[in-house]
Amino acid sequence: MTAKDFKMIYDTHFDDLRRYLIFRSGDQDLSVDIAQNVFMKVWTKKIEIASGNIKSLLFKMGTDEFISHIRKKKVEKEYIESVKLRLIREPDNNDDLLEKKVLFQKALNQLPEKQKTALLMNKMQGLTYKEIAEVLNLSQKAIEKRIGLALKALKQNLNQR
Amino acid sequence: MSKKEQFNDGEIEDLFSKVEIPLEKDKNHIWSEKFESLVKDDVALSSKKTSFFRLYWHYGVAASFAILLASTLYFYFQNTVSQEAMLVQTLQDSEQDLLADQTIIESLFVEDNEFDEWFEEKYVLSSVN
Repeated sequence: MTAKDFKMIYDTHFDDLRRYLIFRSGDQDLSVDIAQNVFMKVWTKKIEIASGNIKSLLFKMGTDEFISHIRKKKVEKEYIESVKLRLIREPDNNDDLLEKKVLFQKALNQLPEKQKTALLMNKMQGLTYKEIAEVLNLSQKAIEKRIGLALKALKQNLNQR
Repeated sequence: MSKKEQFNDGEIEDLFSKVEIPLEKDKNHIWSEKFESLVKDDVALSSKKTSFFRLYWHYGVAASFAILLASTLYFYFQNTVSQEAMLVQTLQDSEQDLLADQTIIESLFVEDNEFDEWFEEKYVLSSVN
């Protein structure tokens, strides 16, 4: 892998990986550290990326690093419920849309952690069910079920208000 | 408007596209802080290795040409010398053959009583030559 290739991969995927790690951990600094470690490994071990899906490979590496960190520090409980998501502010927002955005944000943050992770990986990061299954070491069926439940719970949360 | 109509599937999808996770540090800042020097060092190291390899590569090509040229010249001169030797040998052989043929033909025309005399003459001539 050339320096140019590496920079291109970094520019394309570093922020995505960080965002994913933030909604897994809720910790900005930790997500930066893990994302850096992942990219450091990619560069120093010259991991061949042409043949596979680089995004899911990076996410898988990030997930493994995150899980290993949790096991070491035993801080999983601390991370749960600490994720803060927000919606992009647009200048032409009307009051109705703004209210909907706030409701949506709250409903999303109310989802169980595992469901929210799978849902955001799919909807935000654009990963397919197969890719999410690979990253999270689960079957594709389990991911489909998890995302289905997440969407159902999200709609319920939204429409209960 | 009933509460159930507040969010339809299309709106939910649209809101998903607007979800943002704020990032505190800029990725370019992280790059210059952590990766820039690492990548530069690695590239410099590999380019040194490359130039070392190229040095040998050039020597290799030069040596191959030298060997090719030397062997071509060697075999060329060897062929020339052996060809010349063969030519000289052929000329000598053909001259002797010619003389022998001449003598045989001449001998056919010599009378029996004169043969001894003719033979002695030829023998003396060939000894002198």
